[in-house]
Amino acid sequence: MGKKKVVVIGLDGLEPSIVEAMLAKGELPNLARLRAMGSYTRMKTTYPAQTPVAWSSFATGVNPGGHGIFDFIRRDPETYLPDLALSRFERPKSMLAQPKVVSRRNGTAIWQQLTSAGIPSTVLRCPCTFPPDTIKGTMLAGVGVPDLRGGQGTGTFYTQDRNAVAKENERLVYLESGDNLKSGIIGPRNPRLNPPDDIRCEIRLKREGSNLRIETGGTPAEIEVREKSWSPWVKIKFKLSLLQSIPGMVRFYVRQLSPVIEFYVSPVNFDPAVPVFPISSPPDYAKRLSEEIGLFSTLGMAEDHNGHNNGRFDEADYFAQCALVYDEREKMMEHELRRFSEGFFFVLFDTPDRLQHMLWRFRDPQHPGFNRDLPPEIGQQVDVLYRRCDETVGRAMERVDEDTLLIALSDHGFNSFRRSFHTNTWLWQNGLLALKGGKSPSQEIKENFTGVDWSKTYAYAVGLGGIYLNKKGRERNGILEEGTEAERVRNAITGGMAGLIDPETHAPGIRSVSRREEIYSGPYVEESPDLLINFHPGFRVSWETTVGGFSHRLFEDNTRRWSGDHIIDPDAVPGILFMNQRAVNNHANILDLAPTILRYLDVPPVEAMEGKSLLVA
Amino acid sequence: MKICVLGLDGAAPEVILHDERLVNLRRLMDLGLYGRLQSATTTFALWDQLAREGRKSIVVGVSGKDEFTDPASIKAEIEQLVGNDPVDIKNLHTDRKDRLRDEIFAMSRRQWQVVRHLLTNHEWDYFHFVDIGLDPIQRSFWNHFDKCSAHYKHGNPYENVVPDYYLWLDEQVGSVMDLLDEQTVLLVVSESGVQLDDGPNVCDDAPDGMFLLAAPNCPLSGEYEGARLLDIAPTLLDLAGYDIPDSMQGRSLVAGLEKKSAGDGFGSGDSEQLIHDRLAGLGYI
Repeated sequence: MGKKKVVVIGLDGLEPSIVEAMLAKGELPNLARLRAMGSYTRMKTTYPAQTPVAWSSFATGVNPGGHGIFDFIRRDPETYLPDLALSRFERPKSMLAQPKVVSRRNGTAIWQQLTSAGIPSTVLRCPCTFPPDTIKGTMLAGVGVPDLRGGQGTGTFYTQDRNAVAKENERLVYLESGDNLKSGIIGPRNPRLNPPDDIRCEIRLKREGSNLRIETGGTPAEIEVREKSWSPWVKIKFKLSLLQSIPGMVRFYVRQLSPVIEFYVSPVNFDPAVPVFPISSPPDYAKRLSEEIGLFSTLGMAEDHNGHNNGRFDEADYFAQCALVYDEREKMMEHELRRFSEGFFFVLFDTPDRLQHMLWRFRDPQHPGFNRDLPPEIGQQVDVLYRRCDETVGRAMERVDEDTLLIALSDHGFNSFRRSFHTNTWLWQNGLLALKGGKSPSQEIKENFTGVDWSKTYAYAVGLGGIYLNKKGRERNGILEEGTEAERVRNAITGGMAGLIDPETHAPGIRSVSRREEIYSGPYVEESPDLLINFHPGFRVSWETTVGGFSHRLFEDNTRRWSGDHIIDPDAVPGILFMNQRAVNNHANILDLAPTILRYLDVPPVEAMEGKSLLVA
Repeated sequence: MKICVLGLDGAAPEVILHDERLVNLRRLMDLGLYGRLQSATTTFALWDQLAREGRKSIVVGVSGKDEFTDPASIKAEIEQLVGNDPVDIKNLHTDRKDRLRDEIFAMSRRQWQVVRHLLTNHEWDYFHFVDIGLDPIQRSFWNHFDKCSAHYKHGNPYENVVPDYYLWLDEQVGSVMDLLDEQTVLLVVSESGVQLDDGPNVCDDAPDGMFLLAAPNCPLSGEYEGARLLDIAPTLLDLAGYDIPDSMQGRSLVAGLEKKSAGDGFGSGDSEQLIHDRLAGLGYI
């Protein structure tokens, strides 16, 4: 008998109802084979049903109270402002020291336990592994790795149209008229300039028929990009000073060359050979991997939903960009599986999640963004991608032997996002949140709780479904004492929101509101929102609420291209779980995966782990 | 103010100025003052000077001191930390080049581990450390690296040993930079450039060394031309706020210039914008 191994293929956001329908039609032959060899079940996911939260529970075998990741977004109780919850910056202690990024994910991950037991792991692109854990084996960080500007992905749109305006999370650069142009790629901000300004990297452009010729100033030095297509990766360097430069890489997309030239530059990714912050363990692993398989996206959210959401490229070219990311990932998987001989292997394919977010409206006639005139092929791209995922699982199956536990799973399912709910407006309407000067919520309060009177506010909402009490001693201007008073506010919210009906569509919008003590336990519970809304399918918290904003209405149509979501009642969006082994039952929980994997590798799970092994023997 | 000196003896300005992968050294150069250093026959040392002022010094790896570590009381602590391996390489002319390289790296690794330990766990006003790996690395591998050398063979297996060692040193200097507080003068100094037993530059004068100096109150920045090794000691004393004894030969590079107040020009930045930027492009918001 050879060495025991575990191979896990993560397929982010694969929805059970779609998988099951396709299985029934025989469209997913490899997953069907896997089911026949072992098992298939729907799998309960975390509160909330969110990528970073669910994969962190997968990795650590504990509920979010045990690992500290509750949402993409947290709020600083000192300022009430939203911030990324996956990692934090540590301010350097002197001018000589470098700023550091520290992961907020706690708990003991599978690969950390295996490292203690002397067993190697290969972990590719698991969310919340930035900065990467130091492990025996190799790790490449996933969701959470920023772009060179420090965000989750900001692209730049270039146009000769003087009337164009910048859209959500993008930079806009006007080009001169003519066919021979000079412009610049926008890099990170140079903090030493006063006021801080962006560092730019000069490029030259020339229209040649249906091509745009670009002198990149980087490597390759010159490229030609056809209209409606993406360039290969181009490495560039942003000069910080005579001595220092910051390396990065981008892809170009040419939108059109007439009547005016318009093109787009992707968020500036870290160059895997010289990342600004470490993105792999050991630190030079990313470099070696890029030498072996070619360049790959390093940005956590590699699929460019943002550029597509802004209409800078259409569905077809969004698919094309997603396919580039998927190809890179599959290449990475095959390369590593080829030399995988011991321990634990994990790879995540994020693309199904990012594609479904943007395409759901084409599959849902009740979605406000649905349009009968749109070609149905667009919505069918989801099925095309599911089939591609099935092929990927097939490739992995070819590479494993009889001593391998093979698992394919998704962290949550998917549903429609038709209507949005303005939590802060509800709180205001119910006297739990006050605005200064007796104002009422209006579209003008888009973010950051502008105009909120904290001295009369009992609760506020920020992030993807959470509600916080304005507690004395915790929030900067907290007024609520723990005890009867706080309990009254909690009851008012849970009782008032549960079963709430959308007055326009007459559909039930909110199923229930969970108190944190009902759904979380462990050392990090104090960092979670006090309450969490469980939406019915079709609803989600509004765009404005996520960043501390308001609207004059309670419910509103979601008109963005981002039209599918999963941050609803977790029971409505379970994940899928396929194993090449029989499972003890058909009600798996994502918390069971870590104990299952460790059990197969004969490593006793740490005591904190909550789930149970799903293996029969 | 405290003074921290990291000696990279034998470090060649040619390498430091041209290898852009040395990101920490470059960051240091950008923050402070740097330049070539005309070598002298003497080395510089400030521990006696500061002892007279009642200050605490820690000295590690400085040859010429009786013990490699001073005060001797911390010797036992070091042995506990990294063992009692020799801090010297016996035979540079061995044919077992791989082993030699590994031994030098291992020795250096232990030393820098000690440096970080002492910097963090002991009180000091003056810290002086000299890396003793660069000199043997260059004596043994320079000809495998320097394309101008008569002994250089293209594609030889030791081509990268020298640049790899500089990269290693760069990382170590970066790790020390992370440990120092705002009240410290940091000097990284090479008292002379590459010296080889059989090299092309065997001549009377030692080749130029180099210095990289950063202090929160340093009034000068950028490249400094014409500095001498003699000038370094008075410059350090000047920046750290000590009197410069009349007997000192050199002169402070910042003599007569008004010191900046510490913390100037190092703003915390617009943190609200920074936090906002972190969420940019998340999609869900």
